[in-house]
Amino acid sequence: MDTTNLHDDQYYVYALLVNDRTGIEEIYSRFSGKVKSFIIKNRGTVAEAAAIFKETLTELFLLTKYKNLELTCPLEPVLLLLCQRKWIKSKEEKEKLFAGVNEDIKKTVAYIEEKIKDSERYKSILSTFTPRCKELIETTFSAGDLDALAKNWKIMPDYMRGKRAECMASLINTAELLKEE
Amino acid sequence: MKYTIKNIARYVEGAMEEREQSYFEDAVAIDPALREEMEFYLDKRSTLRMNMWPDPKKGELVDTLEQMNEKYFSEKGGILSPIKRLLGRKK
Repeated sequence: MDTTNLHDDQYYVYALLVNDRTGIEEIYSRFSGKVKSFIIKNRGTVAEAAAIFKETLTELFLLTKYKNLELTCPLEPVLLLLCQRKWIKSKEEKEKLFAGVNEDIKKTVAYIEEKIKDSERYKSILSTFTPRCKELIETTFSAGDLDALAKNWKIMPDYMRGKRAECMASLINTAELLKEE
Repeated sequence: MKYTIKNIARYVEGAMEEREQSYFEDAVAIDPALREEMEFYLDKRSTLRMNMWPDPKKGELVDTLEQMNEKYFSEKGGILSPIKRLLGRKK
């Protein structure tokens, strides 16, 4: 993503990152109404609109924290499109939502959706790996104690790091191969 | 030497020995394709990390979002709700 011209609305993204209630309240007061009306107009309920809004904001938080999401366009159309496209199931209808949308906004939405989809795909592929690989990767990312795990498995920490590299490389290779299919 | 994703993984995951690591870093410094592969690996690594394990900060944010949801998505909420309640009572 081109992040040379950060939009002022990056403020909202940081508000999510640091759990700043004032900023988050502003997001709700400015943007939740349109999401609510869209979902209700499309045969949804208020509760469903709330769930979609919350899920989308949580995804923005994750992308900001782990992928340094930086907005170069206003948040409102991005947020609205993300929620709308999440709600609408038909592929054609999803595409229609992009009609007349500015290229930068379209790119941002596509980027966010792709990263979220990728993350879910990786998670599901990892679930097919050996229990040892899963435990090793989970321990790594949950900041668990790898040395303690090595001790428990009765292997040397160096060997364990090698195994972790093998699991990671294999996971990425598998995920990319499946993506191409 | 042609480096593969396995070599990159060994480097990032701290599985290379000192000399191998030094050769690899030299190669990264002069080979833009390898640098790109390395960025790809790191991107996928953070993708994997992103949504897989509980993040305490995410938990705190979700608490805030749930409170906001109650306020802004309440079925009872809205400017007209007192009138709707009154009308409801008359029925």
